[in-house]
Amino acid sequence: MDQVLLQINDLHVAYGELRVLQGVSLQVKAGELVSLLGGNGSGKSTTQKTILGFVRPTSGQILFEGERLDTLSIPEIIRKGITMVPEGRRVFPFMAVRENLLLGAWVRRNERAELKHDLERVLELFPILRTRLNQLAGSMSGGEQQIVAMARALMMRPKLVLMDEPTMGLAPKLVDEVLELIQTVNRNGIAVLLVEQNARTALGFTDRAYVLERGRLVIEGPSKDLLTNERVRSAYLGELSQA
Amino acid sequence: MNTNTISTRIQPSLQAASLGRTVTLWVIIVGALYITASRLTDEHLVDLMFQIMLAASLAGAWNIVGGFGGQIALGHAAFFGIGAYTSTILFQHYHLTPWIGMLAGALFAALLATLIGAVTLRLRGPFFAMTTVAFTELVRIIVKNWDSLTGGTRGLWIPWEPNPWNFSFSDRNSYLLVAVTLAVLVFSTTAIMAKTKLGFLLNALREDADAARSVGVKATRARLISFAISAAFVALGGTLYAQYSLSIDPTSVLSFDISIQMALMSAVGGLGTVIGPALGAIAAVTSSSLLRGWFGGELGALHLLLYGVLFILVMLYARGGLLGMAINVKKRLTRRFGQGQSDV
Repeated sequence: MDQVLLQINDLHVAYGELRVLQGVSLQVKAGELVSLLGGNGSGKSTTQKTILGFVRPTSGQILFEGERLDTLSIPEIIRKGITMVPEGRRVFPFMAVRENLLLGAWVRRNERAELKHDLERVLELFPILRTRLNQLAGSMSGGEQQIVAMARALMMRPKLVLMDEPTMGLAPKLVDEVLELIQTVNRNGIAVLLVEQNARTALGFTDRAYVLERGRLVIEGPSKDLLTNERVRSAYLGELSQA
Repeated sequence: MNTNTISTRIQPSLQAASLGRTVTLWVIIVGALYITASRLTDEHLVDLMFQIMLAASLAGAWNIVGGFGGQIALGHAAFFGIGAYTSTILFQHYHLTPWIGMLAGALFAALLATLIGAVTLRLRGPFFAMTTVAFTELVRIIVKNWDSLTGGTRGLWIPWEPNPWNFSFSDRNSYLLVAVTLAVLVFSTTAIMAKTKLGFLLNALREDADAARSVGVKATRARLISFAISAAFVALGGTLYAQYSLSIDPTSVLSFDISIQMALMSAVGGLGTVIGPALGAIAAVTSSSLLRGWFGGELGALHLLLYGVLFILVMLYARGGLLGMAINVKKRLTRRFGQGQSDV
């Protein structure tokens, strides 16, 4: 199971003059749960957007199962097995849950028989959605919308799901529920690259973590080790160092 | 409004019944329109119905981009003018029948829309709106200054020599029949679009463009197609207007007011719905005609003022437009009397 799924080598991304990523290298192995931490504007979301093809790198490589991703279009990348749960959930508010889920498999829209099967599989994973299929997604609570967004991302049977701050704006109780769902997804053999601002949350339940600061990776390692790392503690866990 | 291809595919039997009913209703409406258009004798009423049909076609065409796509384009006058000028110039310089000139204008408008769209459709909200306004100004300035081709500010006159082959009729009813055909074409296209992939995509893009892209929807392509279709229909309307009014100039076919009218009628009627823009056009044309009749020439602009007030009221109290209001009333009645069907 230690096979490398996603390999990013020396990734540079710039928006015009603004250099957002300056030499990011990271990897995600099959079935792994990895978090990407950092403050506002550190480049976390940009990293994810570059992986999915929203943003083109100025240099560097993104490899997925050994194949170059950084020249492919978004639909092609999705077909390779990467999907995204965007920041702020971003469900389609005036569409029913069923339509939201089916849109998740948009690039495979012509494989109708399989779509039915995929919908069934996703509903087994998130049974709460089964009775809500005809409800407009916009009329659901924030936590429920998060579930819809996650279910939508699973419709493509991805090998890797990119999640951008899935717990943002949720009540503490719901945060725990969402985290449990992420673990459920992960237990199904799907690797997760989780972007989080809340370092304590992320480090508590991921395998490994990377910390980004101003477009550069500053710390990486097993999440457990980072929880006790002095720099992480003072900068991201809000604990004053003892000095 | 939320019916779409994918669920249609999954529940074909459920949708088939209501589809059959919709088609039947549509055939009845279209038949009634054609019969009225050919039998109507009162010149004034024929003119009124012509104005409504043309306005409805324009609003319906705008609605494809502005309503379904949620992209507030304010430059559709450009396509209207391009349609009017293309067919008229081709007729006067090359004696090409306006029937073919009409198609040439539509093609030209669609082509320009694709070029402009490739650049501007990536822009969001107000930026997109502003560039479409600028585009119209650009077209207007070119037309105004290319005197030898367009007649400059004086515009072009179309001699009235009735000959059906040259899109020129001795009676107004024939023009009206063409207008009805255009409206039927626009609204049939919209209705089909709303039920198929393109409509579903535009819907998703309007609701959340980034989310749609993140699931692999090719946003720009869907929007370009809708923009081109919309522009082509508006250009057809331009030719129809030119042939009917027998004269065109930059003010009558390329002014900002025309772009605004299309957007307003669509919004007042019901953005992103199939028949909403037609309701908006009926409301706009009849009210302005009545008001003009009541208040005469001195207060000629009054209808525009009242129309502005109506628009503000709709935006404040009835975002779904006239159609949305009608649906709400129907829902309330159904709830109160516990009967009727709730499909709209």
